Amino acid sequence: MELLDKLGIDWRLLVAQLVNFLILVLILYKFLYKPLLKMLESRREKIEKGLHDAEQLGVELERTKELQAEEIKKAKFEAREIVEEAGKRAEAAGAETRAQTKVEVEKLISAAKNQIIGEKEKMMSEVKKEAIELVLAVAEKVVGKSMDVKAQKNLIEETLREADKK
Amino acid sequence: MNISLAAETIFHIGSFPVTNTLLVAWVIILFLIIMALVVGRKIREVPKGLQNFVETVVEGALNFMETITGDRKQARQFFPIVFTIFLFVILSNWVEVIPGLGSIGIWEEHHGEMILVPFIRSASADLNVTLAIAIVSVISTQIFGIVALGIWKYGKKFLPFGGLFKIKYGFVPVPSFGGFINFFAGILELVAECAKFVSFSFRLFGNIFAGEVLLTVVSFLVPYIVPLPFLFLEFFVGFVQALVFAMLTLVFLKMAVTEHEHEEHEAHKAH
Repeated sequence: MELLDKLGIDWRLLVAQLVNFLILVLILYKFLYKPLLKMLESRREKIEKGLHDAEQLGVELERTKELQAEEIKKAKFEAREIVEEAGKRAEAAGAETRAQTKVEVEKLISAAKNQIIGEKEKMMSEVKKEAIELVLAVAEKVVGKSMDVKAQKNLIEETLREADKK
Repeated sequence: MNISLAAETIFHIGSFPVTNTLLVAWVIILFLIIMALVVGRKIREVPKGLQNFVETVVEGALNFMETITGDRKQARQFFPIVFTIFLFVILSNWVEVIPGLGSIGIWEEHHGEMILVPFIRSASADLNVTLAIAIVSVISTQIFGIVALGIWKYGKKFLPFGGLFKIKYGFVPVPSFGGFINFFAGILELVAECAKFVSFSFRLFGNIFAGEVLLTVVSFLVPYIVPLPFLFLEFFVGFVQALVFAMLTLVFLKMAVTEHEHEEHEAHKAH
């Protein structure tokens, strides 16, 4: 007891300090730690949630972008395919039409040619015939008498041959 | 120059001696309570002014405690007691570097001599204060331990009767060597628990009292410039001692709520 006294330990002071300190702990706990820790925790949760949400959003955005890019790529591919197909189809159709037209035109041309040739021949033979008859008539008038039929025929043929040669 | 191991009494209220350390403790407690009320009354999610500072300190301390307990929930549980100890001890330690520490006071006649009784004396330089905090620390350790483990399991740490005898051949109890060793270790633990009162209180008291004496002596010998490095040193010592007190309390708290793994191993082996 004397030792404690020498060290300055007095139970009344000890109890006073003890009570003081406990009051301090209680008051600090009630008015500072409790609300502050609660607030810190809630803020931490909020920040965590915010970060998590942001991350989620980023992922979502990335996915949307990817999806978009894929869609665009697909659309482009399809468009190209469609255009190609259309081109092919148009070409095919054009070729067919052209071929048909050509055939028809050729047909028409050949028909016209045939007609022209036919007309020409008919005309030529008529012209010849008439020319010979004219010549004969002139000759008759010049000679004064008509040739017999055989000579007339021979003459006509000879003349025709010569005319053909020219 | 007068150096007294005990805190000096300034006046009496009835027969109750009001010492200078008690006054200082009151001032510190008042200061902390005012701070708590000012900051705690309007805590906002978006911090402002003083709340920023308090938040930084509190959160830093909490994170630091979490690295020691390894569990945020436990850190929050221990936080009020540990952090209050830290705050109170560091402030009372730093009181010793206040100028006018040993020189402002009243002259009193003591054993026929006139001596100066200073108004200000670091609260930690009084065994009553350090012992009071040590008691708070040790008792709260016991309470946390009992609450966490239950009185039976917690008591087994100190009085492990369980392994003393092993039942052999179905009913014959045979004294077990390991059991006795365990029991002895438990008793030692009990002694160590009691020794904490002494180690806690005297470590802090010794450091701060010595610092106070050092400062008084140095200032007495060379009043100018020379005491400066000692003031810085005492500033540092004050911080370290507060940290040591709080951290030791935290570690003891952590140990108290943790089950004795050693015993569990023993139990598994016995099965």
